[in-house]
Amino acid sequence: MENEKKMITLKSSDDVTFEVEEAVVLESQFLSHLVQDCPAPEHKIKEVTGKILSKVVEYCEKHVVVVVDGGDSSSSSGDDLKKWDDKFIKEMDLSTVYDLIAAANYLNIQALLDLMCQRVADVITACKDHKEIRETLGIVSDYTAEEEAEVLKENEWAFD
Amino acid sequence: MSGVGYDDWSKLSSDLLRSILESLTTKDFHRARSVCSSWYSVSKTCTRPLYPWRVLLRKSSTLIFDPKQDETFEIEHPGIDFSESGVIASYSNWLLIIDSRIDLLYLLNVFTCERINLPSMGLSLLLAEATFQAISACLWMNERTGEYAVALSYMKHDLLFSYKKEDDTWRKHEGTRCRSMFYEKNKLYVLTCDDYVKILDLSGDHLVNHENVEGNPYRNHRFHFVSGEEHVWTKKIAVTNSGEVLIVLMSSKGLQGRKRLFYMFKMNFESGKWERVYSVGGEMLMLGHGVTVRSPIKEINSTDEGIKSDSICFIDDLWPSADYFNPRRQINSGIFDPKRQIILITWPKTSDASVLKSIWFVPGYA
Repeated sequence: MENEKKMITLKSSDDVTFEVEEAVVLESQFLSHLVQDCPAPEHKIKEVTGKILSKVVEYCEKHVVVVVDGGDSSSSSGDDLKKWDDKFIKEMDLSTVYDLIAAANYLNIQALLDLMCQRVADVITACKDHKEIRETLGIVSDYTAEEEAEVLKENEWAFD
Repeated sequence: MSGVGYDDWSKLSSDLLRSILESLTTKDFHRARSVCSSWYSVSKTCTRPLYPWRVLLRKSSTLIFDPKQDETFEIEHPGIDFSESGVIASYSNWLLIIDSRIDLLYLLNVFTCERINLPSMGLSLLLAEATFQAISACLWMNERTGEYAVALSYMKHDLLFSYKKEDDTWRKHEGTRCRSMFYEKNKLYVLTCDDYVKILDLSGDHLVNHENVEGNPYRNHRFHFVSGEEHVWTKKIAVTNSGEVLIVLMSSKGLQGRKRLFYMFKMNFESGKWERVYSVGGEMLMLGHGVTVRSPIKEINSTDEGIKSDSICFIDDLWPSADYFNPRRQINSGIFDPKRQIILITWPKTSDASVLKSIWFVPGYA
């Protein structure tokens, strides 16, 4: 090992700080570029709150690719990671999911974004019709009665 | 970014919503797109995974089978009697139906039951004497814009007609005896009864000569096939996504015609000859109603489905059978592997007397 693990501090919009290894930061395309272009010890991320950044850091720390000598990740560790992901998204409320989608999109962490979008897809799948989706996600329909009837005519066959 | 803990799912960025909607199953997709107008507009820009579904026609209802979800659901079609009408073409969610009793041609959306009546052709006498097998037809529909085109030919009578949305009447194309046809981008590709490929241009007005001569590289290359022990029953024309014309022969070996085969041919422009090919180039060919599905195909990983790229979906009225001229006989569908030259599977598997016909369609093809 040539050098010690390099530590980087991330600061959220509401000034919560997280000290993480550089490898964790590299999970995010956005932060990788930021760290390379601007080698400061601390980086402020104005667009993400401390609550959400803590989730991002938690996810990235778990997903850091650890390069062990001659070792490639065994399938059991892949299964463990999947179990961890499942637990990670199940425990999250939808408001956090929403913010985390925005954060993962902004920070460009594709795997986290995919995971969050999958959670939304699962929520939609669990609903029996469009009304239940609206209720679950708190969406207010902007259709007039006529428009709603038109849309239903086209899609109602898919409702249980 | 909300920042204040206020989340409005209707304002989710289009790219993200699109990827969420695209990951849903067909039914969930239709539930989700009904939620609000912004979700609906994004849903219109989604690329849905394409794979063939089956419709089993009963007397006045359809059984729609989604092979990916392994789910069947019934949709009632009150007022339609499938035992008295013929499904002569299909495209996307739509069937082209001919009801000879009342001289009516119409399009039917298998999911929404929406009907589009086509203008009368004033051919009731011909319709009455022609069996459905004597009619060759093709349908094209753009689900996003609602544009459509229909072509219909009575082989015996040298009549070929076409109709596009918002035309006043049917266009009559003189002097084309049509064996099979395929519509794409305002062009009607016709395999004539004497085995030439003709291209008709349907974009202009009614009065011009429709045949596209300059833009037809196949024009002087008659299709010719010397058969050995096989008997050729039907020839179909299709156009691949790369724009190449395919001619497909439905043949059978032996006197009983039990072993059913498909031969495919493409033009080799260097030699000027039609050459046999053994692959659809990763696409999936729907025969009976003449559609090439664009790739990639959503492969269904189930041992008894066999839905994969480079295969041919067919319905079995392409070959004669003992009761060929009985319009009420049950018609099955199946999948053929052109590389191995075998039929992988046919439906319905069990005999169900209430099923009149089993056909293919590919939902959401736009």
